[in-house]
Amino acid sequence: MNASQFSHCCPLTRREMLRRCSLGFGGLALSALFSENLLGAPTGPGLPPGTHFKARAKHVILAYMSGGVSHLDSFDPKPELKRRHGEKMPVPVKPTMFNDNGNIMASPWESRRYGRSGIEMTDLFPQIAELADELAVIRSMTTKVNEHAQGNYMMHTGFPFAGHPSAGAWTGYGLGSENRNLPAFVVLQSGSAQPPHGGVGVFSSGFLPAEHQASILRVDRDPALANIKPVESDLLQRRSLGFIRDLDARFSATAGEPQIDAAIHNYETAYRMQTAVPELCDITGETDATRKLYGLESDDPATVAYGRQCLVARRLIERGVRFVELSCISAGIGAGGAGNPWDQHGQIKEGHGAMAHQVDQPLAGLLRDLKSRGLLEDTVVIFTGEFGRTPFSQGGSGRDHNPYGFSLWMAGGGVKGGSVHGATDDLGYYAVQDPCTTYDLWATVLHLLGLDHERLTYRFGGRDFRLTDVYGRVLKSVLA
Amino acid sequence: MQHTGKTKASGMWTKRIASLCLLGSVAAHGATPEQIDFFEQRIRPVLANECYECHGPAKQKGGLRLDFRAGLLKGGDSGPALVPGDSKASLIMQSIRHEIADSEMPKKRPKLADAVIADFAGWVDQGAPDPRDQPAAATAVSKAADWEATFEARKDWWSFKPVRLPTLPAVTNGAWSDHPVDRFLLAKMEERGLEPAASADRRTLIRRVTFALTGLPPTLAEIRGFLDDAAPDAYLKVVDRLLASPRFGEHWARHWMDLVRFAETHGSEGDPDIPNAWRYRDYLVRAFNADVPWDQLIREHLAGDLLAKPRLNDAEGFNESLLGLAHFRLVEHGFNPVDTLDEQVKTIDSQIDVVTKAFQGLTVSCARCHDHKFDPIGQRDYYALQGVFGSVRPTQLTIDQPERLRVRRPELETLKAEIKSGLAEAWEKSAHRLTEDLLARLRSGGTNAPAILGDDFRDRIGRLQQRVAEIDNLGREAVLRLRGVTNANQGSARPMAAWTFDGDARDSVGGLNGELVGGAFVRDGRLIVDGKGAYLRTAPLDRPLREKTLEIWVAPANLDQRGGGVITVQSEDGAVFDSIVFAEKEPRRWLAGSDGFRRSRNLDGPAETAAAGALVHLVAVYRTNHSIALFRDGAAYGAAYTPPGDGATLRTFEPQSARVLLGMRHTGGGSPFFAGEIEEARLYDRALEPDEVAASFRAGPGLISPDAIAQALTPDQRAVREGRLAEIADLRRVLAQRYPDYAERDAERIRRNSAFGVATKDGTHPLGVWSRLSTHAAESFAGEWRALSAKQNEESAERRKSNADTFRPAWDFAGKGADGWFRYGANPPEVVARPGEFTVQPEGERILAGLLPAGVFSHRLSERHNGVFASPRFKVSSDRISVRVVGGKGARIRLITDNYPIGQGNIFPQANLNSDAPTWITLDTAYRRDSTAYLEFATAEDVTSRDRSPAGPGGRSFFGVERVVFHDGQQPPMEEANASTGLFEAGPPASAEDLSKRIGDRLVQAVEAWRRDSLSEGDRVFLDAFIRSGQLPTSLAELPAVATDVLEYRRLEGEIPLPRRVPGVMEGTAYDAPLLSRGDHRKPMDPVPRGYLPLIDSHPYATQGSGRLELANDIADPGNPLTSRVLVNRIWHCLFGRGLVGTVDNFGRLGETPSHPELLDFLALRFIEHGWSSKELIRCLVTTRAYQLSSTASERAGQVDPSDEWLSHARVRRLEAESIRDSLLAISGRLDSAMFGPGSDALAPPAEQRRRSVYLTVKRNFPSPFLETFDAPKPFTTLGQRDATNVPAQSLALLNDPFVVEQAAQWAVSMLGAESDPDARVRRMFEIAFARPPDDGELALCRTYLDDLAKDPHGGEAERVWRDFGQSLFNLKEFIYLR
Repeated sequence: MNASQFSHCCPLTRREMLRRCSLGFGGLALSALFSENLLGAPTGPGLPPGTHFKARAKHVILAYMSGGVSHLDSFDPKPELKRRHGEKMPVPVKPTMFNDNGNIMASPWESRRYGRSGIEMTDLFPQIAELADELAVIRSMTTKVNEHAQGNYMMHTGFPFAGHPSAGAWTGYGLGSENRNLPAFVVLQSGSAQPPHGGVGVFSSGFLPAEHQASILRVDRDPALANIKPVESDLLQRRSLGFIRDLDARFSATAGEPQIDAAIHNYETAYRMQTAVPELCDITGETDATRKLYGLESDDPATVAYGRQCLVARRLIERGVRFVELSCISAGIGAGGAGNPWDQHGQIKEGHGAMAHQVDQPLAGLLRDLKSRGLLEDTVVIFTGEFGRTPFSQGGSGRDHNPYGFSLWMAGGGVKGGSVHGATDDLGYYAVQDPCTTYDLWATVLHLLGLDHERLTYRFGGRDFRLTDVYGRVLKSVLA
Repeated sequence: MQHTGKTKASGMWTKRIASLCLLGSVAAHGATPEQIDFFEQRIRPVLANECYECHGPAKQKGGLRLDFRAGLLKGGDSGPALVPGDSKASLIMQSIRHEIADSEMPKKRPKLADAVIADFAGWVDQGAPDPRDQPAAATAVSKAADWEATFEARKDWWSFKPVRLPTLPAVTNGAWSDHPVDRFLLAKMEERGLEPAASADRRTLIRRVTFALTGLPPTLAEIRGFLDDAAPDAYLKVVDRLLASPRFGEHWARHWMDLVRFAETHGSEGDPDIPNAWRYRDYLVRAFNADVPWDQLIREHLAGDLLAKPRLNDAEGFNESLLGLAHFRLVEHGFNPVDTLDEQVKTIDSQIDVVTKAFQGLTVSCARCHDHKFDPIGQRDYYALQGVFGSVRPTQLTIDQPERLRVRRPELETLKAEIKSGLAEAWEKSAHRLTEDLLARLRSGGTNAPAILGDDFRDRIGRLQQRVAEIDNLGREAVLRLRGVTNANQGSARPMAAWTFDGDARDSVGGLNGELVGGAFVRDGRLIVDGKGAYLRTAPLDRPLREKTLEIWVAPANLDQRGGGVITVQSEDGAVFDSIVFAEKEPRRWLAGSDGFRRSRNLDGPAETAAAGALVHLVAVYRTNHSIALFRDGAAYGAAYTPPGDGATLRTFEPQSARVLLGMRHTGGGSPFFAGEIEEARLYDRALEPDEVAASFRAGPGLISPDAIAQALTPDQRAVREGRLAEIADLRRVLAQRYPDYAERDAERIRRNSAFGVATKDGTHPLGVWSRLSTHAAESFAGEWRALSAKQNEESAERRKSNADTFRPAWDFAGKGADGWFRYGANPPEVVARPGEFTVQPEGERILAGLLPAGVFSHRLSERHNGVFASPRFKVSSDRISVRVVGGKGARIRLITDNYPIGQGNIFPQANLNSDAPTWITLDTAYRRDSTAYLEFATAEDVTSRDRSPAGPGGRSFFGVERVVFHDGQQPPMEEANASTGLFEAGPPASAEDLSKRIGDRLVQAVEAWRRDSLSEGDRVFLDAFIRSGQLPTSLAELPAVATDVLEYRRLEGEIPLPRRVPGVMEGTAYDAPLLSRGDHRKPMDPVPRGYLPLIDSHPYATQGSGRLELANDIADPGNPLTSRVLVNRIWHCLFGRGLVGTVDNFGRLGETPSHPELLDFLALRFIEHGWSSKELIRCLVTTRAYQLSSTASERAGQVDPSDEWLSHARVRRLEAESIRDSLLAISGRLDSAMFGPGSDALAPPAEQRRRSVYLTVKRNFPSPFLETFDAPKPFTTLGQRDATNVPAQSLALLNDPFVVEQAAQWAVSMLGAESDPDARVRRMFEIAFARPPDDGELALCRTYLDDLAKDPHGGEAERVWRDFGQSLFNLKEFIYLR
């Protein structure tokens, strides 16, 4: 461990200390490991130990729309596209990935105002649109890169390359976990869902200690997590663990190394995870009404699969998991494959239609369920892809990538529902009013979690790194 | 850079200070020169270094500026920063003394040294004399004076000072050890009142040193051997044995791989392979085993291609030094970046980062956007290095020693000259007959070929053959009736190709012979493919294929496999294909596969249930109405469908650029291989009807052989047939006797006749002109000739003008050769100065394809010669670039912008070459206009694109270039002359007969000129037209006199070894990189001369090259204060668990200072003295007494030195991920100790994971979950110091991972066989796992546990019990920790 590079010049920070002990899930104290309370609560009254100031939320659910949702067909409708449908773009077009640029293309979806707040949206996501008053829509997002893998890394880590910690890892590092039997950062998958382009590195802890890495739970498979299924019967395993504990104790006594004690305790945690994870994924106890709410009764298998992720996400939040990321399932339309389901370079009507049908009911159900259970006020839900799509067509029926302007929405704890932030130009090509970056997004989310994005740092390779690189500002107008 | 480096420049620095002082004394009112001197030397550097960043031109935190006098006096939000003359009352003093809470300065940095604080106090008390009248300028680069001051201040840091030989310290307990290293360590211990711990016992020691040196546990025999060896040098013998073990290199190579972020894929979307990256891993293993000096390794890493004396590996026949360059290419690459310059900046940043961290312990890449915040590294210095790395180009380097690949050249040259002379002779003869032939045609009205004496025999033979065929047809029908095909016509659809595997992979119908690839083989009439890379690939199609039917009889090896193709037609690169695919989208279901599933659909056919070895008959029919139908065992497999949308229409596969594959879905995607046996496959160039499919199913596999036909005939039929055959034989004999040259002349007539129609329809062919004019009578002939001539001249003139107006000539290799271009390869592409060169075809009936123009060619002697031909760097200034080229078999031309090596798709201009005749290829470069780029021609395996195309059979590939032009319009240049142009140079012929003579004579002259090597380009085109149109003989059959030489040529050519390659870099156009303002590639400033850090070498590199050689010399220089310190510290870290400098990758100011600075210098100098030998140093260190101490800390050590900084006892350490995995394999007895070669799949099932971890393929997007769980590094930057975390996933892996369970099971089996007594077995297993037997208490615990296991109702049998017991031992901490 290289924590000691710090020690000669300044006192140990709390995080350095936790890191030195490196006890698995976040910053749990040693003693807590052996407590009999299976489901942890926040560590004491007042502020959680890691926050810089009062938090508005404790959990994040990232509904990641890998491949790039078209903002023009969803949360940033543009009447101008209909008026100028088929015309040439009136402004120079920036280089695109496939260099197969067509003319302006109207959205196949109709738009109107929704909710008391009257946010204009299309009917691509009819259920989510009904919840307009919960949403803070940012219509002026921008990102630095124009391809999926780098876009995914940019959105997740603040850097367009592998190696840096994902937002979920930073969150776990900053706040620790509330549940010692479950990881702080969980990625859910179901059906044929795969990691976004760029691979599992998108969920990596980067240079943060390994315990901050995401655990990928495949919620409709058994086992949901690699190596979680015991090879042995419970009785036999308890015997084995007893034997291991007895011999380890003797070794530890002679070796006198605290690391070893920590490693010993991991067995206790691992043992309990074997029960906690299957229990978590077992949704047989949920009511029919709940199942319906999440779309589990749908005749679209993709909706059912995604709905299951949403339902398990709620169960994770209930159990104190900090950061949950949801994975879309490819409909196999346009160029959208497993790593980029929303990537409709062709057939956007069919592709976005199928993808929206997959996530609309489950996500709306999740928001409603979190709200009815009082969990939404502690949870920030984020809906975003890695970039948006172009106002002009590609190959006649699709849209190319657009990193210059796109939309996302947030909902939940500390978020100003029913609000719209920033704007793109009349064609939805460039963000023109209050352009926002991925850094701004995470600065704001960390702020909601009670963390100052400039102070949540980690020293690696001679530099203090942040989720927001050297940029980022808290988007005050998004805050309730 | 104005600041200075190296000590020799210090005099200059003093002068500079003096001049600054002079300026200052005028400006600073009343200050004395001494005071100004003091400010410049002691105060300004600190202010610039520590304060300007937040209180300078860019930022003014708290409203405060400290970069000029008035700013200090005015102060910020909290008032004036200082009170001249009163340091106590000055805010700046309170804050640097940390007297004000929340305002401790410098913020987030170490407190200033007491001496510095005292300087400031003195300065303020003196009245704070300050010459700075003006604020510093707000530019990205610090103002020169400020930077110089900062630089000098920062240079005063321990690691930048020369390494000095220390004196051995005095110690009290001199008797403890006489090892000098121990002396240094003991001195520090004694200073702190520590005493060294007792020595470790022998068992602990052998486990410790075996893991440290080889990454593996000691074997039982090794342990016992050491215990039993009473000699005083027993330990030394162990050490020497370990150093000599091949396992040593495997372990230490992995340490080095951590430094260069080793990976074998580029990550990002698609995670494309870095082909041959494993060779670099092998290079390291060999280098460590051979103890190659580390300064040599550094030179090879930076400039392995430029060394005067490269290190040759004679056993392997390659140049080892080249392999070091691979680390430059192990970068992550973005997927098809729109902005390639941005990508290049990131790539070079990674290269600079790795080189400077790994070898210098410096974080130079922190200076990309601004001067380094802590170290004496300016932003300019960063760009001096960027120029060095930008001046090289990514490539696949051929590593063979040139003499290995330059074989057979003289023999081939000789043979080729003989072949040429034989050809010339035959052609002259044939050319002489051309006039005769043409005249005969004129006589017969222009179409008929001349009669030859002997034609009557031929006619009689033909009639007899017709009779035999009629009888054969009767036999055929009889065979089919026997097979149950009622209407014989139905079962006799004629394929265009069929593979029956009767002994080989030949096409028994057409010419699509198969080549067996990747271990595919033919056995018992079937093609066997393994699903892991074995497949059959045919020769390219010889005609276009549109409507088609694929048919196959196949037996799947298993039904759980996914996604393998059984029969495929694909474009050369696999981008477009149609295939019958098993279980790709749905398990066990067949699918008509296609590129991106564009023409595929899930079909409602039954799930496959065929038993192993049982044949399934599959047919896919593609119709011109775009419908697709699949059939299984003769019945429709789901409904026929017509796919909608883009790319869904029927595809045309073009001749020479498409092939058939068997056992593979297509080239370039996922896991395309099928496992099973293929009985027979057929390809039809039409769509079979359903009843034909059904009939074919009933008829079954096996094209009907002549024998089968003969057997099916009635005796009468057979007798008639044999009689006719005998008659035919007789006639042939007589013909040959009477007209000995009949065969030759008949062959020529057939050839010419079949080609005549094509040639005469071509208006540019001389025979086209002849054909056009031949009908004109003598009186009108001259007039027609003149009209045609005028038209041709006019057209030529128009084309010349249009070409001159439209195209900018860029390079003409026929005219000027290859000046300025780069030619790479052991047999580099050759400049051919004269038109008329030819190449001997490596296979097939044709000896040559045609004649080549002058230019640069890769294949003058062999298509097994590989090479790269690349242009200088230029700015793309046109929308298109056209090249006149030949080439094929995967060779490609690419426009490479900003050195991005792996582009594909239409935003990366490139094209496969697919013609053996010179042709124009146009690249659309509009998208990349204004980029900096170069053109690269490369043979197949030398192409670095992610979608590179496979080489042809035998690894052949070739290209040749004649000209390059730039233009904006769509069309390439028009041909200004053609094969007929020369005919019109003379006056009109009198008649068609006269023209026939003129053409014939001219052909004779052209052949003679060719023979004499004096062919003009015009005559080359003329002659080539006759060769390519089949008017001159080129086949082996027609040229028996040449055939022997050709076959010998082919045999020798086939002996040329195929080159071996490694990812690397090569020199390109050298240039100085511009400084990028704030690191933004869109804001280039002035170029910075190439060079290294002024900290080490202040002189820009005087070189026409990239500067890598100079850089290598700077870094590997014994006088470089960082290199040897950094390297010995790395070795120390690996052995003692922590470096003498804890931050092994950072020797800068944010790093730690050395715990034992004198020892570090002692070792650094010693390392150089001993020739940078790592083995020598390791031997020296592990034979210290300190290394052999017990890990038990004394009570005092526990109190005063809990982190064991002073090494009074051994540190307990967790094993690295690879050692944990390798130990499991070693102990289970399953370790496959094979060294070297392509890596094994890290995600394979446990039974297939038997090699050492260092040989697992490292894929960025698919890391080994097991290794990652135990902190294997993520390959993105130098990591000299791994984490050793504790996470539950580690426990879960050791408890439940099938790989671990598998090893425990294997171990149990071997232990049950080795010891019959359970106690003895426990003792043995303990000793294997921990190098020690259990004590009594442990043994008792084991007995109880084993009893419990045996009683368990779920298990109980011995193997299960001992498996569980063994696995529990794996789970003990002692297993993964070293004491």
